[in-house]
Amino acid sequence: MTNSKDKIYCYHCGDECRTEIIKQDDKYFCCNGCLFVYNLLSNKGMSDFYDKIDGKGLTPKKFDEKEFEFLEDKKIVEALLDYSINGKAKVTFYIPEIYCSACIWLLENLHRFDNGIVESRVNFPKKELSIVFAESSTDVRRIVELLNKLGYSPKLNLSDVDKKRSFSVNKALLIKLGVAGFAFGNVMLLAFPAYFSGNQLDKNISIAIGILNIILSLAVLYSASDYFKSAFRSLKLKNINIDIPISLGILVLFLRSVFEIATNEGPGYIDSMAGLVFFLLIGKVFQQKTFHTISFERDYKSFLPLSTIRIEGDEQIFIPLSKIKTGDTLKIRNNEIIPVDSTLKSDLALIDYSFVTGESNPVEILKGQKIYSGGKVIGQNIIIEAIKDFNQSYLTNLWNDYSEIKSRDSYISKATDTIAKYFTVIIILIALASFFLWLPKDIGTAFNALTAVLLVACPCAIALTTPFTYGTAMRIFAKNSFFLKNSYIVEYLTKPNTIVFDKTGTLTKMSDNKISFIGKKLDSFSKKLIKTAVQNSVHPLSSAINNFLNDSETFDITLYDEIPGKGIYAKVEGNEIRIGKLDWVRTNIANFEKIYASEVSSSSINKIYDNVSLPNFTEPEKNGEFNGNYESTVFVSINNDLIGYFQIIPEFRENLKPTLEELKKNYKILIITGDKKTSDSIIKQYIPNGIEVYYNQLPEDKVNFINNLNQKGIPNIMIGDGLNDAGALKAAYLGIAVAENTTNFTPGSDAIISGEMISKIPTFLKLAKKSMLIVYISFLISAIYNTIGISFAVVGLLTPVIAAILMPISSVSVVLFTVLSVNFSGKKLKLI
Amino acid sequence: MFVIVILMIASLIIAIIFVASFVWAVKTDQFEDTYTPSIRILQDNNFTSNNEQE
Repeated sequence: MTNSKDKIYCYHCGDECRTEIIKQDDKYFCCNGCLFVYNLLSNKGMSDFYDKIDGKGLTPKKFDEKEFEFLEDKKIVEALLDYSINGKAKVTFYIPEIYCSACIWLLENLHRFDNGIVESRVNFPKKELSIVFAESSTDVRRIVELLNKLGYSPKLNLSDVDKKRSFSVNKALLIKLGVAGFAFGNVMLLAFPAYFSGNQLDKNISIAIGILNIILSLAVLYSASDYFKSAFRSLKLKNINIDIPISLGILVLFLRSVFEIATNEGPGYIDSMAGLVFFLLIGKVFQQKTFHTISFERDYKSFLPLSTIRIEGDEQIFIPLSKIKTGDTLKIRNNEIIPVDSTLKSDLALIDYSFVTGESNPVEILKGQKIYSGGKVIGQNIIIEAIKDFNQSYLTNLWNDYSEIKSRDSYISKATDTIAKYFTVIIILIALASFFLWLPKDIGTAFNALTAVLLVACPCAIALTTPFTYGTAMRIFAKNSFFLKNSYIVEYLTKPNTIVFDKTGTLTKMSDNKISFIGKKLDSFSKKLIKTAVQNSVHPLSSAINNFLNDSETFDITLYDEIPGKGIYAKVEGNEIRIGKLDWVRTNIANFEKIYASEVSSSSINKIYDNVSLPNFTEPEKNGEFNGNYESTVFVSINNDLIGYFQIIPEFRENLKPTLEELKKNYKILIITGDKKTSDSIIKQYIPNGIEVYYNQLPEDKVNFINNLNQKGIPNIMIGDGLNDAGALKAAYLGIAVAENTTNFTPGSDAIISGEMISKIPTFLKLAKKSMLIVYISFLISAIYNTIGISFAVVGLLTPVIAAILMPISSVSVVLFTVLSVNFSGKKLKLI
Repeated sequence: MFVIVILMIASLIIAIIFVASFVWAVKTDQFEDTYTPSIRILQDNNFTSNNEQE
């Protein structure tokens, strides 16, 4: 970490020391921050840290002394805390920087830095740190500042405050599953004597078994309580869902068993009841496990910071976003998102609205113009004046609009619920019919038949089929980076006959641009010059070029200036470099200041341009007209010599053509894009013939487009990216968001697919259809079981033995059949 | 034969102990993170650093 090849590396962060070198204890540090952490660690006897991390510490975060002042606000702190009892409070932070075991070691020894900290615990997979601290001796602000000094800056987002995470639901389910498993195991154990002894069993023993069974069945009733609640709720709303026949089945099993045991008629059906509940809960846990890792429900709030800077006179005060009032003057720093609609008070701002509109080229805003919330500031810090309160801003409204569009269940109901409806009605009819048929002959048999029908016709197969089939399919999808919001989406996947693709970010890759340099051959010297110039710029095209030249080295820069909307001027090693628009680059004017005066007579420029001859220039480029926003062109001149231009084309995904070709066989494919019609010829190269492409579609147009399809009754899948298609995704029958990573923002979508998995969409759709078929087959199987069982029950012949054999077999066989056959289909389609 | 009832009750009690410890484990978040403890146990907590400021 010290000297190697004349370069000095920082002992703490492992970076090369560029600007300053601080020496202490024979060790070198690149900045005071690193030195501070080193001293802190060694003072507390924790310099072991450096042995653990292999010389790659985290660079401490620089922060303003007042930056975390808002953490003194009682309301914010209260919302952040998990709990606060008897002067001890617990707070949990999400810290993305947690990446190694040394991090765990350091963070779990936080109490050595701050005596107020009682305990700190890292959850490595979730990258979370929970801290218990004594409120009398420290506070959240000091903890956050300490973490920042150590280089672990917690993510503090508005969503942390606004909604509390609810882990309790999951825990309750696990406990219920455990209890049900316990009851099931014991009931089965107790049932063996009865199974094998015929009627020889000692009377006292069977009474004892009966009593134990009833006690255990109470535990089963507790485990099944969610089904009763759900059934009760839907009865109140006058709906019939699958939970009603399940609850009815469980209740009848319970009551009849209690009756039989009490009258000493038989051992009852507690074993079937416990088994049913146990399997149902396994199905539920299975389902939850699959989509528990990704969150679909995040909204814009997780992208806004907790605080912003308000300027009051000469002072800068950090205030929580919710306190922004109309008329406040705010300072927004580079890369921060504008929280509220406002007007610009600085002279010029570059705003990247890609978060809202998807357009990645920054927009220039001049003093006094309006800025909408949701834009990201690029480059310099800006001063704005809020013209709305935080809660009424554009972004907030946009989000709320999206959330209201879809209430999907109104126009399609889940297949199982439909079947459950008929099932329940038919079973009740059969039960009543057999009751009344028996009534004149024998009251006892009538009651027997009534309950027997209800209990043998338990909807276990139906209730178990969908969670296990769709759950397995979902798991296979998830393995292939295709995540569904819930398991019923598998069913929705089978219905549509039309697929609408967005182009940018969906068919093309968002990050990987194809860059080529056209013009004179770039030697390593000019590469170095260009890289030196572009690396100073935050413009997306500059960073694209910077990436393109990543193997080149750089010089020291003498002079640098960037004129937004025009280009870069840089002076490096005595060479003048201009990069940017053609107008900008070809201004062959020695005196740089004149450019600010801007209006240069165009004839003189043309004269210069005509003298430059470049081999590969085609007509449109020569005239300075480019293909809309499809491709970007960046010109370069060195010492007033136009050497050529970079062409930056968003690259289409691999295997796009075969994928679309495959989909075209069974689906109607439409492409909607914000591109101008001029890019038609290029797009057509990448897609098969006969696919309709619609150009010039703004986000609102896309929503209308989808609504149009909906009105015509065409079930459609919309595949688009993140936020700018959010409206369309939400409006669509099924919206699939494409994300480069699953933590991207995907409001309103039903599923998230990883970008490189687009080519597997045809296979995914096939598997969904197979799963649907499997569901139908197992419905058929359970129908057969039910017919057999019910016919025994109706004639009053349902003996405990037949019930005991039929019921577990039907559940187990259905579960096995669905899981195995979905896995088999997945294997055949090469998804696992 | 009645001894069987005693055995059943004994087995039930053992099972109750297990289910109770399961509930306890879930409630104390022991299933929340099954990975970090495996790292934590390997870390030696000796703070005997070679630093003179200590």
